[in-house]
Formats: sequence, structure tokens, C-alpha cells
Amino acid sequence: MNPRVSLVEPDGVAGRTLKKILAREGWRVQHHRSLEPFLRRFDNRRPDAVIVTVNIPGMSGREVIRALRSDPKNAKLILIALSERRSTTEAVEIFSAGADEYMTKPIDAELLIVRLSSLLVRRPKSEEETFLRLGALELHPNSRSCRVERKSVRLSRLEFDLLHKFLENPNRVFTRGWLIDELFRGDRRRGVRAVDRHICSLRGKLGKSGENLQTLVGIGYCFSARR
Amino acid sequence: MAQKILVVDDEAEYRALLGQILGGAGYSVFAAANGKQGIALYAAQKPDLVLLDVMLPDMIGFDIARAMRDSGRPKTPILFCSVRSAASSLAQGLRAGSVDYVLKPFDPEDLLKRVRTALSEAA
Repeated sequence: MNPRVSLVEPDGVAGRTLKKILAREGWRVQHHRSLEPFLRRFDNRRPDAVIVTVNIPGMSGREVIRALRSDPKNAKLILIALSERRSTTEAVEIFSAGADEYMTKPIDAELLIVRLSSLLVRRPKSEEETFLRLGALELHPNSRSCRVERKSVRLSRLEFDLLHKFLENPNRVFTRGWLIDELFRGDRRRGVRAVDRHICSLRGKLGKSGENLQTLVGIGYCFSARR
Repeated sequence: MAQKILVVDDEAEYRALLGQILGGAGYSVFAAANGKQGIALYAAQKPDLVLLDVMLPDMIGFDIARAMRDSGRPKTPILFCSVRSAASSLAQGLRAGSVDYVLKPFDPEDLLKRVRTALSEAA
């Protein structure tokens, strides 16, 4: 299946031209002149790559890149930012927000094609090839296995699901309510004690890495990657 | 004088968490548990920034943002804070006048950066 590309370019002529050039590569390109229609159609279309001009009136393209990148469903999405400005500060911000590429206008279409092709080739093909690693911890979602300091550790289904959430989102604070909604379908009566019990057990099984699993009293838990 | 931030979220844990993060960073934090309270606090406290949950028991966050915008201080930055990560939600937030969108669960340091950015851009 040919890759789907969404292009957000406010200049109609530039957008149509770029769309034609990219479509010649066999890519299925949809052009939007502003962010709102692009975002509205994003979930239905699920593009493989997004090329977005960052200096757009309203919510900035940088914020959109950050929001799209923070959604785990978009882990494989390729994000290319186009900018009117040649600014190192802006480039740093764009890359920090989660962009894969940053190019300044006027765009060299040939270079854009080379960069996008290369990113599409390097993109992980399937879940089997991906795993999560944080310090001495390694989690393989496909085989549902876990290794701590290169040694295999047996986790219960819930312990695995909890650790998966934490490693996918290091440094984020998970409230107990959020974990209960996610793992116990909102059954708070059963969930509160079960979450605490499984966190305690998980912490014990992770050895020294378990120290990174922090409790915020009265709020929830956070897996810190900062120490 | 400390800048004022209004938090509107029906989950007590999130109100406590945001109170800790923002209060710890020196902001003066006011919290509301529903849309009506939020709109009333917005009018009474005149906050410098609003952190607004999208799904509240009495109102949708986008409608609360519109009500706040229509109440006479349209330039106060509003950041949506929600578990809803769909791009269509981002689009709705954009239409309702938000300046940023924070996904729950969030990283406290990242949240603070976004709050500081929104406040400095609004200054």
C-alpha cells in the first residue's frame, strides 16, 4: 500500500505544487490550507507522514507536532516541519516537540522527497521489532516479556500492563483514577486496592529499578527517568 | 505578585496534582470541580491562565472556554488538559480558542514549560 501523506501548507499554489511533486512518487497526498481541517480528518485518515508548515495563524504547528507526538498511537508517524524562518532556536523547539525533520522555505522538493523516503524506510515495520527500554529495564510488548539487568523477570498480566504504561510515558504522573479507568474499566471499589497491591509487587520485582517507581501520596504514581 | 492560574477539573487527584506543581512553582492556584464553578471563579479571580479539562460532569470544556472568551477577557490563555488525544479534539480546542493542549497523564516539567510559554506569549 502506498504511504499516505498529509500536507498542511497555507499557500494554495505552493501546496498544490508540492502535492503534485510528492504524488509522482506514488504517495497519496492530501493538502490542507489550515490546521483545523487537517486535525478534523486526521483520525479517519491515519496518515503515515505529516508535512506541516509551523508558522500558521492560530495554534502553532509546533504545538500540533507536540500533541500528535505525545499520543502513543502516533509512535510511528513521520512528522516533517516546514518553516518560513531560518532559526536555530526554532529548529531546536521543533525537534524537541517531536518532529523528525525540519526544513526551511523555499523547499527543495527533491531534498524533501529524499528525506521522507529515508524516514519511511527506517520506520519500524511491525510491533515485533519494537521494545521499550529504560535504564536496566527492557519490556517486549509482543512477547509480553520483561528483563531487568539482562535477567528475565516474571510479571503478572496487570504488573506487565502497568509497567508498559509507565515505560511508554516516563516522568508522567498517572493518577490512581486514571490507572483504574484504564486497567479496571473504572471499577474504583476493586481498582484502588488492586492498583496499590500490584504497584507494590511490581516495585519489588524490579530490584533497584523499582526505586524509579515513585508514589505521590493521595495522587498516584510516576516512573521517573530523571535519576 | 504571583500570577494566578485557574484549574478546572472534576478529578480531585488532578486538582491536587496541579495545585502541587503550579503552587510549587510560585503560582497562585484556584481550582474548580465543574464548569459552572470554573466560569464563576474566572469572573471573580481574573486569572492570568486557565487549565481546563475537556470532559466535565456539567459542561464540555470547549463550551466553558467559549463562555470565558465571551465574558470580556478573550486574551487570557486557555490550555486544555485532557485524556482525549484524538486529533479531532485538538481541532475542537483550536476552534474554541485554546493556545495549547496537554495530554493526561502529563510530565510535570513539561506542563510547567507550557504554562510558562503560554504566559510569556500572552504578556
